[in-house]
Amino acid sequence: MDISSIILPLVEITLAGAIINASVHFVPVGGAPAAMATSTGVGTGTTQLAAGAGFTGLLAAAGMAAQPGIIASNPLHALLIMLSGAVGAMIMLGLTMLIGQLIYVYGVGIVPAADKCDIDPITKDPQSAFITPGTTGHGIPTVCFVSGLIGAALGGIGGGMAYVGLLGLGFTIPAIAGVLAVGFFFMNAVLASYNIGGTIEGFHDPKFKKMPNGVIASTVSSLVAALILVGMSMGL
Amino acid sequence: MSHGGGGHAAELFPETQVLGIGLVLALIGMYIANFLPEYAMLIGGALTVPACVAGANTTRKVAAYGLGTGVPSIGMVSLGMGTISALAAVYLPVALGIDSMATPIIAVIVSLLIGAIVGKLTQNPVGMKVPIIVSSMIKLSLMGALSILGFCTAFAGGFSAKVFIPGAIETGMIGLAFIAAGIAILHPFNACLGPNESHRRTMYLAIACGLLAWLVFAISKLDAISVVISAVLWVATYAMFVKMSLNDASDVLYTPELPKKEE
Amino acid sequence: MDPTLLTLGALALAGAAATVSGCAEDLESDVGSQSNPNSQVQLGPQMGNIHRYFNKAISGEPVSYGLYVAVAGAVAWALMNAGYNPILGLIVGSGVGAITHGAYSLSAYLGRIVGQSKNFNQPVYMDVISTHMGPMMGHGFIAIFTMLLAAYLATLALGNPFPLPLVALIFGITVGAIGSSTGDVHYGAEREYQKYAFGGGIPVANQGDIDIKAETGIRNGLDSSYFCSRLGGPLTGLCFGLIIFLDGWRTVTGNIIGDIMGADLVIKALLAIILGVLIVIATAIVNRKVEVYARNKYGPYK
Repeated sequence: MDISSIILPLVEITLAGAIINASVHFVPVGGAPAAMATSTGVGTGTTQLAAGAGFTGLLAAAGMAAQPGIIASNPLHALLIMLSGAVGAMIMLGLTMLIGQLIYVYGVGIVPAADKCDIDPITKDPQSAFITPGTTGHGIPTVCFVSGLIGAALGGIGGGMAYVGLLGLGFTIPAIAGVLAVGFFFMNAVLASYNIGGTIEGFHDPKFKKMPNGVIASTVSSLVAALILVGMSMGL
Repeated sequence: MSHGGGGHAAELFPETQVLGIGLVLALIGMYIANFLPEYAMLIGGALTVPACVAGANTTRKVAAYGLGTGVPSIGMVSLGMGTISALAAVYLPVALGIDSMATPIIAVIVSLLIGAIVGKLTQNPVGMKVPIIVSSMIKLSLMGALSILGFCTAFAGGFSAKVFIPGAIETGMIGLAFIAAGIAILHPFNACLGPNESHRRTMYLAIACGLLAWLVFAISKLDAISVVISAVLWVATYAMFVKMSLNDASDVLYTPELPKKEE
Repeated sequence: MDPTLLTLGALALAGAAATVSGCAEDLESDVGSQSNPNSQVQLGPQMGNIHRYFNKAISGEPVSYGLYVAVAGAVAWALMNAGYNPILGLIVGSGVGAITHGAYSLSAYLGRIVGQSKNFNQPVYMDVISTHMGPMMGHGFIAIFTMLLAAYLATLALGNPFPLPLVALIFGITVGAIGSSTGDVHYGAEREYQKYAFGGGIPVANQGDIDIKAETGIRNGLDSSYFCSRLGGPLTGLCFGLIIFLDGWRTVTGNIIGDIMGADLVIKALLAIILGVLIVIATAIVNRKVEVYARNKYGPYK
């Protein structure tokens, strides 16, 4: 095995960890309070939603990689695998946010409203008047929805990139690459959720500025994991 | 997921002792499983249970500080690190050209390393305010790796790459080890937390959860003897937990009535 | 038979199975009060509301459903590998998954209730246990079985390269993530707080002040499941069914269009990706329409 065939997967896996961590910061999650329409975002935990979207993306990426004729070492094909992951994750998160929104509007009777911005930067709608007094917003306004889609796309690209990197190292049995990608995804998603510490509305949230800390943490831990994986691949 | 009552009761069993027992027994179990493949599920599976229990005990200690994202997250990160360590331990001996007998030891070393690094990272730059986070991450990473490697070795009948990869990875069983051991580590404290939590009850539940994970693996291997033994032990421990819970409850009612409010 | 038709059939069946699974999963979590709304059940006694809800704090739904479906998948895989009929394998596997579910449910109820029983005077209700365990494990069994069926179809006919237990794990995590993000809102924000007027979020100060009275008598989880089966459950099912179906549909359609154009693999893959992006744009547009509808219909709070 020559040096260039190691460097590329090493970079891919490290970068994938950083992207996965960044992606989690875009996803609007309100945790338990959002399930009570007490805060803006999807009503579940950060890691869980990121994992759900990321794994859908991983399945899409793996399905693409497994198609006869697709070779992960071909840059164009690798790009297709990553884009496939991104689209898979975006479909998952887009539909989840939309159906969640339907329940907020028709089941609970609230107006989607963001707490962390007075005016939605995308639709220019004023927000604060629509927030139930005593809560920090509710539902999934457009800015959060778009932010979530960006996050899902990044998560899918990250998952797909890690999968491509693992294939590049020679972990060609899908089960091995899949298990490693799942473990790797959880490690980075939890690091991101500890960095967020509860709820985040999306890229307009002040907490979003903390993202570099999480990305640095994931880059370092992913680099360590990637080095171990390179060591493992020597035995293949 | 908020913490509700939060907090936990006094510690009855010292953490280091529980960890030591878990580590030693799990290692012994793996070697026995490797040398006596016909008893792999029976002995290897049984001796992996202490590793799950030790992990659950550490979860109890660290999660009582309040993590901000609920107890389950730390179980998942421990198993995420554990998966990478366990797989590294299977592949690295081949890569480094050493004997596969070193596999469990490598798992210990790699998981300690990953746990220490991830633990440090959660303190700086992520900035978690839990004083024991680094040592807890190390312990959880170790126990996560041991539980995954232990159950998979028991299922595959050995930890050398030749046996382990087709037996536990290509079959997807490592996915089951990931989640079954993960829940066995995070569930006991997550279920029992609150102002009236008791260490004894939590530990009984931890043992029951570990045994249940073993039972599931025994069923998946269609190993009748292990199924019977693990099922009997699980029912016995679980029944003890139920009994203790009912004894410790303020009241046990059989009809739909609300207790009168004390004015 | 034409392989494309076969794939489409498998896809439709997987989508239908996923729809049932999502619905059953959500209603099950309403019976047991799992996941995020559980925090309110947990707070209830501290706010002086002694309740008869089931308190099922196993972990978040994604992790716990990951476990049940992975258990079911592993057992089913083992039975198929030993030469048993796949249908038998799926059923027995789901049964083992349901028993695992039951065991964790009971320990979660006892653990959480007893963990705050003495301080807040919350009793353990044996009749809640005996009446709720059956519906929970039953709904759980339906959710697990249909999920496992979708996973089995994914490995068998839809080109998924992973082994069954691993696909089962990933599908389980996904259904849990969807169930807790969508259906839980109907239960948490509406059903647990029906005494507050319709049309508002729950202020922080009111958290834990859950309804303990039902339409008749004292409320329990079965009443909540009945209530949520009118909106939260079906929508959760629709959400998951659509995800499984549309994600597979874009690939199949991409291939069909590609065949008509006589295009190569890369073009087909690109077509599938473009179709996927169109679906995503459609969700964003519908989301905006719903938002505007709510703003005009409900107006600001005064």
